Amino acid sequence: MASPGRDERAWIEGAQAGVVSDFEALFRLHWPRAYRAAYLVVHDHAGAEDIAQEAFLRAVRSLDRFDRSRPFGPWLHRIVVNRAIDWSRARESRREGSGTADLESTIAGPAVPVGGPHTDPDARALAAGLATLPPEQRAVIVLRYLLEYTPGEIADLLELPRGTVNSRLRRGLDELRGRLGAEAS
Amino acid sequence: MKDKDVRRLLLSVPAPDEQRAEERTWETVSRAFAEREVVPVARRVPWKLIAVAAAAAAVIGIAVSPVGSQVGGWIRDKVGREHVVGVAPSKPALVGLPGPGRLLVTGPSGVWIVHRDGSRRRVGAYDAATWSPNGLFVAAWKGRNLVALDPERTDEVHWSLTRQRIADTRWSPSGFRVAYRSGKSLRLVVGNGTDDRQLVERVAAVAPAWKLVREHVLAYAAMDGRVIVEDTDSRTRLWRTRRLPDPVSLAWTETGRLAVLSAGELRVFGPDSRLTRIQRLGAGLGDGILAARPGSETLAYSVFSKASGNGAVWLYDVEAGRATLLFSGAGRLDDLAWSPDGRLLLVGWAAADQWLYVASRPGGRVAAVSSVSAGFAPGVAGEAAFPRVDGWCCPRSFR
Repeated sequence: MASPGRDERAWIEGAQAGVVSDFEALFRLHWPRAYRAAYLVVHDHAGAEDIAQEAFLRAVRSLDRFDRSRPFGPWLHRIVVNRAIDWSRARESRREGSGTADLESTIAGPAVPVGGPHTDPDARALAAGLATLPPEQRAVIVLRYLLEYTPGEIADLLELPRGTVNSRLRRGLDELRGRLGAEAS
Repeated sequence: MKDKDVRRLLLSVPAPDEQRAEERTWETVSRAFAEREVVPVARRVPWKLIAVAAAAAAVIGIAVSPVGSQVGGWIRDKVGREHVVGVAPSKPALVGLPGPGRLLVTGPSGVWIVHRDGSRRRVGAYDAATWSPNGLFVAAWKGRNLVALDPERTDEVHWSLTRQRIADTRWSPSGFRVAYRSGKSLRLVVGNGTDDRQLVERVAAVAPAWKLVREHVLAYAAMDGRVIVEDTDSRTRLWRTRRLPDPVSLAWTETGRLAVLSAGELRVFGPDSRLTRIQRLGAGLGDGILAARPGSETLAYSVFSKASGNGAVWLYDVEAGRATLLFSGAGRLDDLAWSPDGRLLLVGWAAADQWLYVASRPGGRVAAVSSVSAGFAPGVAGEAAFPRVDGWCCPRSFR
């Protein structure tokens, strides 16, 4: 995991001293990826917002104890992704209907205002394929390809054996390739 | 499908409502940030410098000899009294101002003027002071005495008055009137010290505020909680608010809106006296101060929570009705003073013995000057009281 840049270290130090502009800089830097990562795992934008918000609130509560020599991103992403997995499992166990409705309607439905009709068809297919995977596989795909962690780092973040991470990645990618191939044909 | 293709596609998937979710979350998270308890961070001095200082002190006798004092100055230069949060320290020691103008500061030994280059002149042993609109004079008071001085020749008193206990003197934007509280009354004197008279027999202990116009329109807080706006030349009451919960601070914006900070809320009245904005501050918050940013429709206000012991400074865009948290920390943040160009807000943070210069643009950095008390308490043994900023001279005084 990369060490934090000078800006991020300064922002963490400032935030620990109570400087709101530094904390806001940290928030603005990390929000897009935290929200997108949560969304791609849970497939529900309200759920993703709750998860990302909870992660930042935990960051606020833990700020004084945070070691500023360490990068902020992995710490935040660990919370986001683990919480997103829990959220998805809980939803599936409650059988609250289709867990993919929100994402799929966003990607495929003509009524979606944000980017729907203009979305790359491959992106639509990838997202639809992602929605069919178990949340644990979605999480490793998101960590590997969106957040760009190595399999070893993912193993640390999710507290899994590295072999498990590799197998989930492989199965997940196979599934996605199949889905993209089906869309193309 | 290559790794970079998967990444590109994951980034292409639209994340609905992302921006609004971001703003909603920021609102929640920034409030949590404001309410957290911040312990002022102790300065960390590089160990090499400590070693150099110890060695120098041992060999030369740093406390007593002229040579020692030079070494002491060198060490102070290296370590610096100016502690900048979030960016590398840029200047050592005593405290040039980061913006134009001059400060009026009241410390344990009286009133001081701080020039932009950091040089300071002691005005005298007064309780507080205020600038005339163009900085040509200073009105200073102590106990029952009010005097007007030339800030460059402070041994010359232009005029003086003796009345009941004096507080909250404010010079009108035209320069031709000075309002001040005396005992429980509100009084008015012409800028040359003549024609001193009582304007109102009983007012609340709140500083009056002159409207930023050529005419002499003054807002003050009455004893019953109303805020009254009066043309002091014609003695005409122009309008008044309904009773408000304990007004503590008044300020006029550039275009003639009147802001009133009171317990738990900030109210803004339009030039036509209509209430145009209410910003709820939360239960138990208030007891702070307002400062209108020069040349804008923006206010800074500070609040203090007795429950948490934390203070916070917010920026309020009057036109948008939007508050943005600028800074929060342990203890009170009672002093607010805008630089004349409106680019920096000086915040006095007594608990940390620091002045903070907060850039007014969103995301702007904060520079902090530490060990402020010692700089305004020469000869005071032990811990000195934290000095109060009485004004940053001088914004353009009226439209």
